[in-house]
Amino acid sequence: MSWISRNLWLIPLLPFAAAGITAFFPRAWRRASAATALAGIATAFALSLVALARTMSPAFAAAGGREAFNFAWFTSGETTARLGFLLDPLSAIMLFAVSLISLLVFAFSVGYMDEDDNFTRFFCFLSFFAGSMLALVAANSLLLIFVAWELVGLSSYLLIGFWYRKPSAAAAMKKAFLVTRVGDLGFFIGLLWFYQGAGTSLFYDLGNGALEGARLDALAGGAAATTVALLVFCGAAGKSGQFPLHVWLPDAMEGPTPVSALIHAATMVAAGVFLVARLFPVFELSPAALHAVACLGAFTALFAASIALAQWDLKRILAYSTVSQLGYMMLGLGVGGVVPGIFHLTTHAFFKALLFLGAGAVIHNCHHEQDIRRLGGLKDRMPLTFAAYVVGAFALVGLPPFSGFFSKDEILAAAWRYPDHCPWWGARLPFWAALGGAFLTAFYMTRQVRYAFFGAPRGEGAAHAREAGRWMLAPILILAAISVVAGFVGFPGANRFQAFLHPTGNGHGFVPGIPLASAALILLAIGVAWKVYGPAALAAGAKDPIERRFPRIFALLHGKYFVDELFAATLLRANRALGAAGSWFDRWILDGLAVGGLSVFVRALSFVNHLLDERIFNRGFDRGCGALQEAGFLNRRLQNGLVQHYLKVATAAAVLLAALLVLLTKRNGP
Amino acid sequence: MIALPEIHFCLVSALTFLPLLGALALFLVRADDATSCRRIALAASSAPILLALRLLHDFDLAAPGLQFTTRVPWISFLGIDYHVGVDGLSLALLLLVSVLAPLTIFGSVGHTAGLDARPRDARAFFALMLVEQTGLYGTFTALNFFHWFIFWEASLVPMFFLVKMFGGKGRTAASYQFFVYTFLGSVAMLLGMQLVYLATGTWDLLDLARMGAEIPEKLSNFARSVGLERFAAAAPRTVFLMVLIGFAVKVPMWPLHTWLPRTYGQAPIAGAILLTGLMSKMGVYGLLRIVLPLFGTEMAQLATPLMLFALATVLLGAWTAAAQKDLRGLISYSSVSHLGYCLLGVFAVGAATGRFEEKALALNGVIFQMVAHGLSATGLFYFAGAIEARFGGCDYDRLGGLRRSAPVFAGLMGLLAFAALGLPGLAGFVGEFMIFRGVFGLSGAIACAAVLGLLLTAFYLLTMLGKIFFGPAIPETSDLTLRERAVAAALSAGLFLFGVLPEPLIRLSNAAVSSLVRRLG
Repeated sequence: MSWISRNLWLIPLLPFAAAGITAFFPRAWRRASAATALAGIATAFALSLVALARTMSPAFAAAGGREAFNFAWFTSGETTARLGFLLDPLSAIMLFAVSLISLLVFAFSVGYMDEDDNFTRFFCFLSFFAGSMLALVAANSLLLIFVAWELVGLSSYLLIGFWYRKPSAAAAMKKAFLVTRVGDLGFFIGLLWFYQGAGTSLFYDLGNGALEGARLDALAGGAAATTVALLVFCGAAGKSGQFPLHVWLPDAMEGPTPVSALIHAATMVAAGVFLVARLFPVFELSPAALHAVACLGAFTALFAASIALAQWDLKRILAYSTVSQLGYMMLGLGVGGVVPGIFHLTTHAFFKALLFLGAGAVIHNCHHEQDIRRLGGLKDRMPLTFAAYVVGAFALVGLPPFSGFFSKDEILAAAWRYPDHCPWWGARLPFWAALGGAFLTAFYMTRQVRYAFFGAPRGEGAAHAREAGRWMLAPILILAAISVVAGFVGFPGANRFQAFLHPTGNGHGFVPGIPLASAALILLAIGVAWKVYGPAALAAGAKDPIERRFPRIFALLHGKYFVDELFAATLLRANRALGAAGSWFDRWILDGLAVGGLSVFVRALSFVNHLLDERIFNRGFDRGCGALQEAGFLNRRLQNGLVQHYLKVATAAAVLLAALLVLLTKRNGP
Repeated sequence: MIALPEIHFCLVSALTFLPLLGALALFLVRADDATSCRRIALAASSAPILLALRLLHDFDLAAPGLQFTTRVPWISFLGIDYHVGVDGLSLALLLLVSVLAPLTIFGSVGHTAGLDARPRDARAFFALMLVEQTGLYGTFTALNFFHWFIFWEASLVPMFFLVKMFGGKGRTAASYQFFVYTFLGSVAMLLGMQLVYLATGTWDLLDLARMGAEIPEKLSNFARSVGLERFAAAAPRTVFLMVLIGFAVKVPMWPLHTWLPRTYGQAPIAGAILLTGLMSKMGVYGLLRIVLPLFGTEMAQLATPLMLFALATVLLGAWTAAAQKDLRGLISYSSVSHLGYCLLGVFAVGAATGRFEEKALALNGVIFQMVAHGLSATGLFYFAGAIEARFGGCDYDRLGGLRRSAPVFAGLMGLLAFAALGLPGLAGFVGEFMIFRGVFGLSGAIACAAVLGLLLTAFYLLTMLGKIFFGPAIPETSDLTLRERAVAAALSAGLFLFGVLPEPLIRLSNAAVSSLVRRLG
């Protein structure tokens, strides 16, 4: 085993250590905090490069294409629960992408968070996130993935609520944690089931792992594989914002923009996609589970894209776009396996981080203006940001030759061929949904770019905007460069990505009609949107053309199909009612009726006792007392009498029992 | 280490009675001299740590049986011995007492101790705390039911006075309800155990555990021998339920929990910490030490209804916690819900079927969860006290946005809340995972239903954090004092350590748990 495989744990540990150290920094140590965080993530990135190089070496392939380093966590009974880290092409590519984007976003944050009071704490949280995310992708155990999974959830919670004084941020942080935890319940049961079924939580363990050999066969029996896959997919759907658990992701935009870029676009939200890819051997055992993944993904892709058409917030448009793209990734996994899904995950991570950082630069330099109705004209004031943003937008809509074109196209091709190996009347639907989503994506991105960068400035912030500083601009330009070229590693016909990630697979071949058709469709969408959002629509105070023409549809889309309202009216209300019912039952039935009734009974006994005492034993004792005093005395007697009386009874009972006991022992004899 | 093997003979007894001596020593100082009283109490309360460490050092982790035993005849014609010892079931709890009790006394200033209202009774307060500590040690080490019961009840009395003297406005009613309710449960248990004694002729818990499966038979025979033919068949189950009630009240198990919110709501913070951090564990410990070994057969027959009660404890506790309007109420019901997981683990193990590994995992998890909950609930209650001392109450209406003026407070409180909601990396997760993993193998459906508790717990704790710490700042306040930071840091360190490295803690209990599970079959 190579050095890097044995020491893979260092990659997550370094950012964790940075987080631990900066947690104790006082607020004023701003530069020290940023420097520590950057040093941690930069070293982790360097080690990720070493890991990536290792997986590309011929010796690695000769050794079976994966190296796992496992260790004992605890022993109960005679079984040891083990955890481990895994180096294989999937984890290497994820480590590379996550640490690189983290590094760039950390650098961007130095500029973006410049004026924030809590600058020091921000880098602590960011480092904590990076450590958890790197642990997640390098884990060789479903249990360890779950651990890291919850930790990224915590960092997401902390960072969404970074500006906790805003009530909307405080609400969003809670919502994000709870909605993802709904999915995590399924994941947790799936984890228990997986552990139970395979007898280990390790994926690979020299032939004894759960995803290899006999233990995988054990999972294949019965409905175990389908159940485990679907349960785990619940967790994946929560984290990756699949319908109907997508509701938290747009609200998560309350966090600072670098957070949206890193966590809620590029890396953490893709964790669900990664999880499905990591457990793909289990999903492969169950066509039904893959089918569910594909259908839900395709639906989410179309559903979220349509919502993005009618949003006004610069970041929320991107957030719905993220939900939609995550749907594409799930679709890719469902219809085409690991390669299309992960390929799109990787390219999307770069271009979506680019878009968010670009949006961040816009927001930062327009006095925190996020409403695209009050932006405008930025292409002249922020030319470099504009150029990079357009590159990101082209990559997102999938225009050739930008990276999104290659990865989205591979998903479309796989979806097109899906009916070949899935004979079902609806098997063509995911493809059409994906194609429709592609059209809408091009449309809403054109709308957004037109509103933000073209026309005349419609707000105070946009009018005074200037180009971003170098801490912010440098990461944006690097990401733009990557977004242009990254696609070529997956060039159809000579797919290096396929060869690296899944060398034994044969790919999905090349369907020449699909890239042509999708490119034409995208160009059409851009053209239509360009026309619709012409100078008339961009004038200050003008209504959105869609809103003018179809007000009801626009209201439905703008209201996000009212899924939030539906949840509020059903699940949240039921939850509140159960809480109230629990309190009521405790108070009036258990405590009131049962305990209270008993206590009234004892009090009645004690009152009788009191009468006996007063009238018979103590007759005349308190004749001279006034009525008020008497009442007080009576009251006190009643209250104290409860225990005294009880103790009397208890003592008498104990004496009786002891006597009985002695008698009986004597009779029975030892 | 100095070679003093004979120290083992009295190690446990010394540990137990040291705090009591300290309580006597308190009468050397003036009753209202809170500082001196606290110093003496702290010394007497933390002295047992040294003995506990010695005990830990000499403890044979591989041996399943009792160690450091002392057995002296006491009332021989009734079969009553002074019999104490420690094994894996009690060691972790013994250490928990040794850490939490001094920590609580260390933190007992002003409002936390209820001394702001009764500054002249400082001596009484610390004396009661020390007597309570002795009661706890005794309960976790006694091996003869008779004097085990004395300690069990003895721990009730100081708590009654702590609530009655130092509690909030409704303290009188609360203390009586607490006393009467738990005493009733104890009386039921005592009667049940007397019948067991009459049937078997021994009070010794180890002898009784060895008889194990024969006990129901003996109970039936006893019923016949006293002429209760018709009662013979029902005798084992009746006795089992009587004994169970005593423990179920103490833990508590739904629907026998209603004394708890009222008592926790009125007790002084230090008392509430001992109640939730340590006394609630007495009930679970009793289930492990007495109910499982003695009534295994009876328990197996009733396993499903019992698990449903445990499930109700988890879920209804959580739902009710979410409906509370103040922090104390929330922590109280949260405590009910968290100990529900322990009940679930014990009852699932009590079921007849199931594999050794899963049962061992569930039971080790129960013990782990007790420690984890002890640490996190202590911290939460301590912080509830810190809030009450600053704002005169802990209802949400008067709080909000505290993170701004008290960031350290917010951070540490957040850590404790996340420990309570089972965040991986902190101890709560390990305990819950072990219990769930064990119970899932033993009774899948109930485990799946109980998982909902994890969501509800997150719901009420995050709601609480949001209401108190986030949003616009309503009141300005001072951040934690040095003393408060020290207490919270100690608890957080423990939660983090065992969350990352659970092995040392699990190793304490594993041998004893394995042997208990093997005996259950």
